[in-house]
Amino acid sequence: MKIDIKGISKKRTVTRDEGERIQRILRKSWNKEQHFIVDFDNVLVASVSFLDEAFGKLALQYTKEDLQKKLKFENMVEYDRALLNDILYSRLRQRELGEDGPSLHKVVQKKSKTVSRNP
Amino acid sequence: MTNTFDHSESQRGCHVCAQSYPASKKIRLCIADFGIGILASLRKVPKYNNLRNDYEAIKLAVKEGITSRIGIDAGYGLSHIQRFIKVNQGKMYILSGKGKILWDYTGIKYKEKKQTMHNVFQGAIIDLEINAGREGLYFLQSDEGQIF
Repeated sequence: MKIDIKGISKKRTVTRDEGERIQRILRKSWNKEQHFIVDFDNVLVASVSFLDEAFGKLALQYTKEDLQKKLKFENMVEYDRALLNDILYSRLRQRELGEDGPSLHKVVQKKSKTVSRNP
Repeated sequence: MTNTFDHSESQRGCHVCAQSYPASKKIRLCIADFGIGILASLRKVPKYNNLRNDYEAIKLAVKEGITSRIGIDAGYGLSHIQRFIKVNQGKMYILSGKGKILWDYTGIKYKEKKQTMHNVFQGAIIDLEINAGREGLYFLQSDEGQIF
């Protein structure tokens, strides 16, 4: 099944609501389709909200291997591809952490500091 | 910018200013809203209502998966911006209430500075200094490899 991002979303590829529209299409046919070809037609999205809602949240339910089998991204600008990968890894980490996500206690206890940047 | 509409409860949306500096190959981008501020927004979530001050709230807001929206999986915008700024070797300031934090990735050493403001700014300001000099500085990189 082909998902034409430009045709479905026009230029509305910014908000979570707009991303959810794509997610709904994917979920509706997820078990019926062997794979989805998601065609961006070189539209620059550059929105974490849109990409997370459309594809990132699928990683809370499906494994990395499931996603790789099911989704093929075409004509996606390199910036968006890098952003999508980053989002998917965030969601896969969240899945490992469980629904509580990061611990508030750990976060606020860290003091402001100067550290060497990782190479 | 979507944070303004999702979290800030600003009645006037947000103000966005951008300036390019060709000589130094930098871009400054600033987004300001006049909403309820990051601390008040996060305190709406029961598990974060023990936040003590603006500094703690800002610090928490940039962590992955932290959101003020109850029952909605979100909270990735600011953490991605922070990672982008790190890759880009730029700077990010976030100011809200009396708290201000600077993340500075421009030098050899990464610096994080906390500052307490004398006057309260009720909304939130995000100010980015982006390097526009080299294309490679725009791409997020994962140590875990590429999924797609």
